[in-house]
Amino acid sequence: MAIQPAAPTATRPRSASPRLGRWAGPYALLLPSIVILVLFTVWPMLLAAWQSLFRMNLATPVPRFNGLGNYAVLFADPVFWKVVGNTLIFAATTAFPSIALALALALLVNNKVRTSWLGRTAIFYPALLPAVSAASIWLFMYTPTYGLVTRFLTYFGLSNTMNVLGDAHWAMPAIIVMSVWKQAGFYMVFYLAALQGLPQDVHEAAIVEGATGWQEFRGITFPLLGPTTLFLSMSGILSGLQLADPLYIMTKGGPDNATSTIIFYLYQKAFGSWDQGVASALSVMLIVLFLAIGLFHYGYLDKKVHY
Amino acid sequence: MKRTASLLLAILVIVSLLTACSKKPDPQPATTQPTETKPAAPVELQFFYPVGVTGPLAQIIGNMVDEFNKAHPAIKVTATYAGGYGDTLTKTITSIKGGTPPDLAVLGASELYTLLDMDAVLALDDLIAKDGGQKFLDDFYPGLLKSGKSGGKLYSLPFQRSTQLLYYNKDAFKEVGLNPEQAPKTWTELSDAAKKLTKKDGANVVRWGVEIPTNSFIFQGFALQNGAQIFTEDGKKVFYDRPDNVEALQFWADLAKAGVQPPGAIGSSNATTDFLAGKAAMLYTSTGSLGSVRDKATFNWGVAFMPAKKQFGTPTGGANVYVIKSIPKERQQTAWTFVKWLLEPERVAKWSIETGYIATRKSAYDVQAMKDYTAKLPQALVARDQLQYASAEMTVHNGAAVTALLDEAIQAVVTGKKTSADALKEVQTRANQALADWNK
Repeated sequence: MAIQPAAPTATRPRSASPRLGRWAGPYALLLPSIVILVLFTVWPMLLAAWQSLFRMNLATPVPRFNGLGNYAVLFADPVFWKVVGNTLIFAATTAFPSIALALALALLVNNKVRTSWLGRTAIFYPALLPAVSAASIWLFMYTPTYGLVTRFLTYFGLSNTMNVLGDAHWAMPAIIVMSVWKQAGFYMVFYLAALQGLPQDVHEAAIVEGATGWQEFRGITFPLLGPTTLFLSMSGILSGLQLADPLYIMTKGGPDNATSTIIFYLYQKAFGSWDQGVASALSVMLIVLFLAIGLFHYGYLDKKVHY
Repeated sequence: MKRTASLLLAILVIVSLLTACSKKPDPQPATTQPTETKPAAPVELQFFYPVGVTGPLAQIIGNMVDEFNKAHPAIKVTATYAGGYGDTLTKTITSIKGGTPPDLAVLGASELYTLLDMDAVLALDDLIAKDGGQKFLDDFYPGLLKSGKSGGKLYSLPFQRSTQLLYYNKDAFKEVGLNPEQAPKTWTELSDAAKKLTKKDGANVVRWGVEIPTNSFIFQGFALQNGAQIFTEDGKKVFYDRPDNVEALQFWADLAKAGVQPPGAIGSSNATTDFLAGKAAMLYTSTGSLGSVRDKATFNWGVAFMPAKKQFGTPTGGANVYVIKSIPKERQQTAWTFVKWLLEPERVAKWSIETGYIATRKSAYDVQAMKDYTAKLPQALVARDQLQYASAEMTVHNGAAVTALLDEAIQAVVTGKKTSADALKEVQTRANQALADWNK
């Protein structure tokens, strides 16, 4: 006897809107994350945008509407342009060298040698250090006369009076070196994982065809690492843009704002000068910058990546 | 069934989230129950304090607070170390704005206008009138008391106050043929002595003649030594680009050019460490580090007035005790009990002995422990004796921004990026803008 298909209406759930009934569970499970996202990310962003339109500082205890006045103040402030420049330079000079170094190191330690774990640990451990600890260690190393870095440099004939962190030209490079040292190991782990997940048949084909090491790297390995590079590039740039902890410990943004970044300047405006209108304006500009970078990466560069 | 379970789980998560996010109830002062026999819980006071000099001051404060709590079982003070002066101010104001203010705080004496602009601190006149009165106030050094006054009211009492001091290594002086009992008294004598004291080994420097930290507090000293105060008493104007100030900053920068001072921007804790390590023969820093130098120096050392140009001069630095305005009235009275205890002559003397800060009350110098101490260590009296030449530290509206501009100029000149005249002129314009709102 042929099995009759069940009548379509017999098993319909009893809720009024069937679609809602099916999706209530998943949305309810998403709700905590959405609540946190809205409360701690979206709402503060909107609030900052609103506050940036008001004069809110020590001289104006009752906030007064100011239109784009706070933004005008910032654009006229020479220190603002300096910190924007510093921030972009920091982001570029910490992200790309870190990634390049990470890739080189990953290729180096990506072998089955018994002691490879030693190399990997040694390169990775700086990433585990809290930012403040790393900054304190390097602050000591950069101390004039007896700091380790200073003494190392005296072997190259430089005087031991070099005050790296107190010099307007060398303070930023000094912090960049510390940042790259701290991040490269972390990024290396990503590349290692990616390298070990690469399909072997493509490599074998390359060897059969007689490709040199460099051709193999350039034509096969690097493109296949595209997704990792994209992710690390965005991660590196964003974390470079947010550099603040080491600055607070090592140079306090000085000398003469040579190492001040947008975030550090924002902190000074918000919690030093208590000028919340201008600080909010700075926040808004930072948010726009981050969104632009994110869009550029995942909207445009993403298309060029091999998956 | 699976759907119901996941729904229930989701609701559970949301409810626990909302509970976690809800505001905690404010700690209530304990109310005594007349019918019960168990003692009332002590009133808990929150006390924020900074440490602005090199030394184990956090430990000393901890000991004092323990002593107070033992002697006053009905009150429990919790002292929270909050970093430097800037950090402590940030933490205090953030707590006030967040609705959980501390009851009292030790904050920079120069922060008065910032605190008044935020209406954060309580006028102490009523509390003093009921408990001590004019006799109490007269015992404080008038110069130190002045920094807490505004608009005829008193908002803070001096707690850890300092002047700058010239610390010098007597052994190094003897080594180069200088009289170890005779510290340089003028700017010229300072740079001459520094030249003699600098020891080199090829391109490396083994010992600097002098080491001067790069900050606006030190600059105020130089400015006062060369003539006059750099701000008006009402806190509305600053005078960075006066010719005397330009000259003062130039003299300071020239010391590094002459090779007797380390180049670049120098932190004050680095400078103190270098002095203690024998890498700098003279040091410009606060008397608040006296205790630390006394304990750590392995050589004979002395202190002296800051070298003069037209006159002796130094700003008075340090911090006062403030009571926060927004706490309930009963707690204000309890907080006052702690303030009064903290400022008793024996306590003031003890604090001065252990740290090096000036004892802010005249009667503290008559306490036996203090008399014995100063007999053994006459260096401890130098800062107090310099008070007659001391003036207030820069106290202006929008203090953080205006001071940051001065720091910027000093750093630019000391690192050789700008000349003294250009740097000070540029920040004068921006400082005028920063103060414009109060000069309307």
